[in-house]
Amino acid sequence: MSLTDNKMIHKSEHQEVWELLPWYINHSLDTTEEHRVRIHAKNCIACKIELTQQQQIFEKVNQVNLLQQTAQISFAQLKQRIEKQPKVSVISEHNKQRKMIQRFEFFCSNFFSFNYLKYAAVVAGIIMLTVPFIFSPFKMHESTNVYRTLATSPEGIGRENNLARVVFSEHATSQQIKDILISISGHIINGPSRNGVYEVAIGNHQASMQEINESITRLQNHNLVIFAGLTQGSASD
Amino acid sequence: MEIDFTDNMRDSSGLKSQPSYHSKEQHALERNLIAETAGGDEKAFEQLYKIYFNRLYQFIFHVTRRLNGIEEVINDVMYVVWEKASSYDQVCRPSTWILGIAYLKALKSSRQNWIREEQSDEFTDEQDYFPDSSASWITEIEINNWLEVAFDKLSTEQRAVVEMTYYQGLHYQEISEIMQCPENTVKTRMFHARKILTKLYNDHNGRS
Repeated sequence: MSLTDNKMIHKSEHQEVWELLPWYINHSLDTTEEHRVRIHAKNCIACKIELTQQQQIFEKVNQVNLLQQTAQISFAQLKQRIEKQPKVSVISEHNKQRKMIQRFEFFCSNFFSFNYLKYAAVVAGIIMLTVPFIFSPFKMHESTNVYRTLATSPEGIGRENNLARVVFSEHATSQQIKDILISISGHIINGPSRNGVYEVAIGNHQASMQEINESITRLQNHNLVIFAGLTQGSASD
Repeated sequence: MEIDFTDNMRDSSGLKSQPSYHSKEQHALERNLIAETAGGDEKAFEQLYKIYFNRLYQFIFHVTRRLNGIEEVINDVMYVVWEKASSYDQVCRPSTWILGIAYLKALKSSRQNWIREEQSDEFTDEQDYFPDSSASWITEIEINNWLEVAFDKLSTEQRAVVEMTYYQGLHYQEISEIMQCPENTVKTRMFHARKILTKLYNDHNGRS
């Protein structure tokens, strides 16, 4: 065997032992492998140093409590989340909070600077005025007493002056509806709803009340129109 | 089911003593529990669950580096154990079988999390993902938690090898079985992981 071959074998032995060091540390190697590592590490300075270092790392790794570790990771993730927040919004949030605090402080200072008795009198007056309404036998729930007609706009009243609600006969074709609307210079804004109601704008915003009323009458007289009326709350009211 | 989370594996010096995962008695007990689980014994399954909960928690945490959803992954693993207990061949160690399932589930969970983050609006901007250099807390964390930083620098596979070697105390042959890869791949992964760990450990010691 030549010197080079010897070196090769030696190098290979070193490499193999070097790779086995973690398992030497965790005591999982079988007897033969363990003996091999021990003998080599005795004479190899590099392996000895690496063994000491890995032993330290192994101990450090196992010293860390899992809960501590999870807390650290959790905190790091939270910090990342905080960092990811756009700074502007954070600043504006702080400003909002500061303004609210300032307003509160302003209110408090003003409140206590006035005569407390004045406020007490005003509050008592308000309570006395509202008591009859609170205990009134005629009190009803508004929501249960809403009465809505076809002419009542569900979205609110009086949005436009020229809006009408129209219901066409079920026999009316789309072309016929189109023709009827053209005849009154109207166009569909919404609809048909589930009940067949169309919301129609008559003319334009400059259309006079008389023109609109005439158009409504014309619609009402048409045999393909079941209902036509201005949306409640519009100019006709 | 109540799980005891107390860390009772520390000796008087504060250093964790190696848990008795590897004793023959422990293996026999686990094999027995798996056999009883295969017969539908819920009590045996519960005992097996309790034995493995902490071990799986640590294992999955180190592989995925995530806290959210660890219990779900554990339950996924143990569900497979419950379902497939009858097919356990009794040849390999119970830990090899269960950790093998856990490794695959952890990898799957990591990938899913990665995809979720990719798709999430919050994570679309890479600039947002990495805090700016002026954030001093990053440096603090780097100094205080070199191990966390080191683990973050390892690949999922490297972390898994370090976890199974330094935490679970497994032999490289068993690790290769669990990871379903050649023994040399395990050694190479550990070799590269060691380099990173050593570098950061020395950096940390130098700074402190």
